[in-house]
Amino acid sequence: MQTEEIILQRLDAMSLHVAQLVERQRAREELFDELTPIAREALATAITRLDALDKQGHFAFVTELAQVGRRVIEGFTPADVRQLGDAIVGILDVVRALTRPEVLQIATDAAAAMQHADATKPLGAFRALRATRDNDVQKGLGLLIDVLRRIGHGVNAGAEPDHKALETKAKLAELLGPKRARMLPAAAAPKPAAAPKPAMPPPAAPGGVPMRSDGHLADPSGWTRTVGESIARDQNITLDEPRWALIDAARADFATMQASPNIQRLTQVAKVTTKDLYQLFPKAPARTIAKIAGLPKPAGCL
Amino acid sequence: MKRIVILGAGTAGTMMANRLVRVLPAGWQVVLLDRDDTHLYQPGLLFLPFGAYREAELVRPRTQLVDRRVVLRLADIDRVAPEHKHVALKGGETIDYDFLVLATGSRILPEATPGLTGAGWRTTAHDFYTLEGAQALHRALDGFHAGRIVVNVAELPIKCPVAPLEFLFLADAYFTQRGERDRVELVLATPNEGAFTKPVASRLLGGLLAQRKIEVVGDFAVSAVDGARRRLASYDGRDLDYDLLVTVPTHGGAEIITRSGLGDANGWIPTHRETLAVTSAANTFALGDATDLPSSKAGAVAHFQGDVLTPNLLAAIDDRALSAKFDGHTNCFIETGYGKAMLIDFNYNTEPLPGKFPLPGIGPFTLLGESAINHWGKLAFKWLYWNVIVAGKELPLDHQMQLAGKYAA
Repeated sequence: MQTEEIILQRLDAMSLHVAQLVERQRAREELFDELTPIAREALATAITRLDALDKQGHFAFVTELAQVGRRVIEGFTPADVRQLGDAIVGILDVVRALTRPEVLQIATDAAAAMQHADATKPLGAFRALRATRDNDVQKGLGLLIDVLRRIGHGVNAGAEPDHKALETKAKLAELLGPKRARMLPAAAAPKPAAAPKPAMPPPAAPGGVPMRSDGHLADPSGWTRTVGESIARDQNITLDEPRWALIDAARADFATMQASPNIQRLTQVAKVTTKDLYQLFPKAPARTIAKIAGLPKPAGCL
Repeated sequence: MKRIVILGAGTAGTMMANRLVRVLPAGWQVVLLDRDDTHLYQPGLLFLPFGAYREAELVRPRTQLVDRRVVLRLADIDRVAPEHKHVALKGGETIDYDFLVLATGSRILPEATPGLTGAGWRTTAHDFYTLEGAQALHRALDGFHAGRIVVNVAELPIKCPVAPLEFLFLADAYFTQRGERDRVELVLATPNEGAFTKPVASRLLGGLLAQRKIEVVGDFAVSAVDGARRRLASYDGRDLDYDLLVTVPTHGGAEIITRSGLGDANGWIPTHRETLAVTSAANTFALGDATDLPSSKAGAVAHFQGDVLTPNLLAAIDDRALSAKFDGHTNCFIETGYGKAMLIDFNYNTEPLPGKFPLPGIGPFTLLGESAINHWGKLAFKWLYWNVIVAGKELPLDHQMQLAGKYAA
């Protein structure tokens, strides 16, 4: 009696656990059912939004940016980055100073002058002297000399002369020498991008029916028996009755399936054997028949 | 009690049965028929020859895969009699139906190629579309250290059209890892023009074969195999020697379809390309590999067709017009070896294009390009197959192909 009671008690306890398990599983399944339509909707929305971003070029931009990032990473050591971090406040100060409206205006004006560098006449000593009579030139000279003074002061305050900097300076001077300065942009100018090749005019079957680059008719509905005959002639094939039967069968099959028949399909719809097909069209029968019948090339999935 | 009978408890049939029992109105019963209790995870067959999967991972009893509201019958079918609206089993029993769903799949017909199943069959000539074939090929590859492997597609259509290419990519990686790649020649002999027939894929992937040193022999329609001499002959008079032949034999529909007069000469079922209604019999639908449609014979196609067939069957029950339309949507992973894979997504009208899937710009899957994430997706697909696809659960994906995230380039 007692053991029976214990067993019953245990079974009772177990049945509760089983019920709980079933309940949990049911809840999980319900959640799955609930989430499926939500996921479908969320995914559809995400696809639409991301496609819009994609078509605007956001992803292409990020990919390119990643390339730039990679180049920066390759070009800089961690020590460089640390230095950059230390100097960041100074750099930002410079940026702030440079982006004051009057400074930007000067930069814009200078850039404008550079754009017309070709039209600028070289100045001899006398002309230069004469030019200093101009109020604007005087002001500019004053400013330049002030800038030069500050640079000089900075350089003198620096510890030892920096050979590398001097070299760079010399190189720059050389590069910016009046004669070379004019040669430079011409030499460095990138070759004009090759003009896009004019698209090959689509070849046309005799009769002026447009064709694809693979030699198949662009539009099956533009086909006539005359067109078929002329394509066959190009393939050195004379269309007799059994060959015409295959062409007609291929066209009829295309009308229902909207796909060009392969060899197996041709043997069925035209009730011939593969051997017959190769006898009538010795080279690539399915493709040749499609070509003559004005149908697209029979294709695999890739 | 009204009844829908589904023939074939493979990917398409099992999925349809599990879906239908959930949505059918009261008073409807689903009977699922198959001859045995072994459901095979067919995508796994590709990996078996390279020892990447074991047989036990690839088979499960059909009885475990169906919802308990589905009546699963394991029996040999004699024939379908549309004129009596019943399916006759061997032994005389008949099962009446109101609607019939044909999910009888495809099978390989190696005997259709003269000589293929003669000398050397399953020693130097193998298929990997059956469990026995893939296992025999695994043993053959294990003992193969030098020579010429020819992968030959006998005739189109075939199941999983990218499988031959995947096999070659995996073989390249397999022999490279064994340090024997320079002693093994890899050749693809295909009745297509080449490995790629569509412009975008040819342009983007054309270089992949040369890079992997895979030779392609195009327009090769095999007419006979000389197993003793290890030589393939083509209809246009070319010969091709091999040391090991990996054949993708001619495919055809199920015998029962031909026996019942429902199929064409190769046993494919004439099916409406959009509604999936069978044109050779009334109150009958077909999906998966069994149809004569120009869509790929692949599990993903069966899945997307299921999304169309479910509402269309419900419409047929209510005597409404069949408004859901199949667009030929296919997507599939293409294993390229070295831990990478590609993904392609296309339909009747749109060729595979590059881009990201399913989220534009983000993916995580890359279309028409190699990535490790694609490969992980292919591996994770096994769980998805057993627990979601075959179980008939919904995926949050539209059955219609979407152009979002794809580039025309």
